[in-house]
Amino acid sequence: MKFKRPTVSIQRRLLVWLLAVLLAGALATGAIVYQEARDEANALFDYQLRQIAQSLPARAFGPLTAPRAGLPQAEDGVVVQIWSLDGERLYLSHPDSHLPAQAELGFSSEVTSEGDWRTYAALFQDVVIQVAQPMRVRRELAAAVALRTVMPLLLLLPVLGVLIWFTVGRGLMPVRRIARDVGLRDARALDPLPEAGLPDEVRPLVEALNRLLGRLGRSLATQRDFIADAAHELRTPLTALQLQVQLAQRAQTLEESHAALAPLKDGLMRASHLVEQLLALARAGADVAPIAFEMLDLTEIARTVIVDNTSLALDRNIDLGLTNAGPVFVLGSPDSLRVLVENLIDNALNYSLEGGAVDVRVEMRQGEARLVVADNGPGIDPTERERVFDRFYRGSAATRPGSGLGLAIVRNIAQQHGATVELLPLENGSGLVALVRFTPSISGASSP
Amino acid sequence: MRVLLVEDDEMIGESVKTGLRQDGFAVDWVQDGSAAELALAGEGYDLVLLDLGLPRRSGLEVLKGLRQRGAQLPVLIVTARDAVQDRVAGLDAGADDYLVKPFDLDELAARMRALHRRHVGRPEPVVRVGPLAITVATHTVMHGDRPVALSAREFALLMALVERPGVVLSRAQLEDKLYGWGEEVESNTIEVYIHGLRKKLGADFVRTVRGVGYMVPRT
Repeated sequence: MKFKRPTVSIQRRLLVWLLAVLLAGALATGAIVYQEARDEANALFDYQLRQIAQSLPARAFGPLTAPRAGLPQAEDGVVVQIWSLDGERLYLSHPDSHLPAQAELGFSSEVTSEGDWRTYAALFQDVVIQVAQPMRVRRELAAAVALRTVMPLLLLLPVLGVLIWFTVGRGLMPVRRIARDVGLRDARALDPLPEAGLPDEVRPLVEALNRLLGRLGRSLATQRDFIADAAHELRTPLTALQLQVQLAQRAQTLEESHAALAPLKDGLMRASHLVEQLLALARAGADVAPIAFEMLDLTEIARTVIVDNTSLALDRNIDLGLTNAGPVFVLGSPDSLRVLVENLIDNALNYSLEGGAVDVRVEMRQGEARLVVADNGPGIDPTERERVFDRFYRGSAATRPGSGLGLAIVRNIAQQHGATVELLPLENGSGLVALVRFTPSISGASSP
Repeated sequence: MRVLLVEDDEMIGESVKTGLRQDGFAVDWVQDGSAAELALAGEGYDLVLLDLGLPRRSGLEVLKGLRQRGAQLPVLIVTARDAVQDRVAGLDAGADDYLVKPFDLDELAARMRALHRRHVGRPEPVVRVGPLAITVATHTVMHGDRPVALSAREFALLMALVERPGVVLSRAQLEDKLYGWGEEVESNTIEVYIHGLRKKLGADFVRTVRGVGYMVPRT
C-alpha cells in the first residue's frame, strides 16, 4: 500500500470550483426568485386583504362568535375582527388567535407570539374592520416558487460534475501527451517536442522546454567534444610514457636502466602538465560568480609570475622583465588571473628565440587596465591568430611541446573577467604581443 | 630492414627509434610531413611508420603523394585517431596497417615484420634458406638442428641478404639496411659482420662478389 502526498490536480480543482460556482449560482437564483415571489405575493395578498375588508360592511353582522359563510377560509390564514367605535369587539373570526386588539388604520405589520402578521384596518360608518393574515403564508408561497426554480438545477449538479470531469480531462489531454512524450525520452534524446496543434495555454510551456532542450543539447555537445579532445590529447603523453617504461624494462644493465628512466621523468611531467591545463580549462569554463572577485594589483601578479620563471628564462638566455612599476588594480579572482598571466608568459618564453627578450607591461589606458606580454619570437601567422585560441590547436610553427590549451585557458579566464585577448605583431612586424584589455567597469584606480 | 619513422612528438619519436634500433631495425626519424616526403624521395626504405597529425603536411597527404608516385613500400599508420572513419580514410589512402596510440613496442615490431613479410611475398614467419631456418620474430636461427646465436646487427645483415637470394648487395646498401641516420658506421663494419656470419654459418654461406658486394646464393 502506497501513501501518497496530496497532490494538486487541475482536473480535481476545476471540478470543485466549477461545482461550487454552479451551486452558488443556483442558490443566488433561488434567493432572487424568493424575494421577487414574496414581493409579488405581498402586493397580491395586500390587495386581497383590502378587498375582503371592503366587502364586509355590506353584509349584516350576525352573532359574534358564529362563523359566517363567505368569510375567508382559514387556510389563507385571514382573521377578521370588527370593533365598534368605542372599542368593543363585535366580531372575531378566529377566537383562538392572538392578534393585537387594535391596530392602526390602513396597512401595518404586527409581531405577535404567533409570528408576524400583515393587517389592514378600515373605518366603515361606525365600526372598525381589521383583516389580518400571517406573513408565514406569503413566505411559504415564495419559498415554494423559489424551490421549484432551483430544484432542477440542484438535481442536475451530479450530472454536471461528471460532464465537467470528462471535459476538463479532455482539455488537459495535450498536457498529458507532452508528459508522456518527455517521460519516454532517454537522456540523449534532446530533439525538440512537437509544437503543432498545441493549445495556446500549453504552447509557451513547450516552447520554453524546447529552448531549454536546445541549450542543454549544445552544452552537452561542447562537453562531449571537450572530453573527446581531452582523451585524444592524453593519448600522446601516455603513449610516450608507455614506450619509455617499456624501454626501461628492456634494460639489461644498471646504466641502461638509468638512461631509460631519465626521459620517463620528463614524460611524467608532461602528462601532469597536460592534466593541470585540462583542470585549469575546466575551472575557467565554469561560471565563477563575480561576487568572489576582489580588487587585485595586476602588476603584483605579473611580478610574482616573472619571479617564478626567472631561472627558466636564464636557462634559455631570454631577458624576461617587467617594464612598469606602479600598481594597476582590477576586479577579479586571484587564482584565475595568475593562471592567465602564467600561460601568457609561458607561451612567450616557449616561442622566444634564444637570446631574445620577453617584456611584460601592466598599464592603465583610457580607463581600462591592460596586460601586455611581448616576445620577439617568430610570431603567429595572421591566418592562425584566431585558431590558436581553439582547444588543442597547435600552430604550424609550434616546435616546443605543449598542450595546445594555454591560449584557450587565457581566453576563458579573460571572458570570465569581461576582458578581451588579442594577439598582434610587434611594431616592427615581427614577434608577438598578447594584449589583455579589462573593461573600465572592472578596472580599478591606477594608484592606491 | 630500414624504416622511416614520421612522428612529430619528441618523446614518442625518441622512444620508438631507440626501441626499434634495439630490435635490429635501421630507423630514420623525421618530425614533419615535408621532411618525410624529402626522405622518401631519396632513400630506399623498406617500411614507413606514419603519424597522421603532422605539422606542415599531414600524414594522409604524405601517404597519398607516396602512392601517387607509385611507391609500393608498406606503410603502417601509427596515430592517436581511433575513429572508424579515420582508420578507413587511412587504409583507403594506401596504408597497409593501422595502429592506435598508445601501443606496445613489441606489437609495433611484430606488425612491422608481418607487413614486411607480406611485402616480400613470404607469408611464413620462418625463412628457409639452404640449411637455415630463420624465425624472424624471435631472431632465432637454426642451422639444421643446431641453434646459431647472432647479434642484433648480424641478424639484420643476414635478413637483408636472405630476403632476396641471388641478388648482390653493395656495402653501402647493406649499411643503409643496418643503420639509421646519425648512427656511427666504421668503414669496415660490414666486413666485420660478414666475417662473423661466415664463422657461424659456414664460409660458403655468404659469397663475395669482388668489387660489387655480397650475396646469398639462391638454393
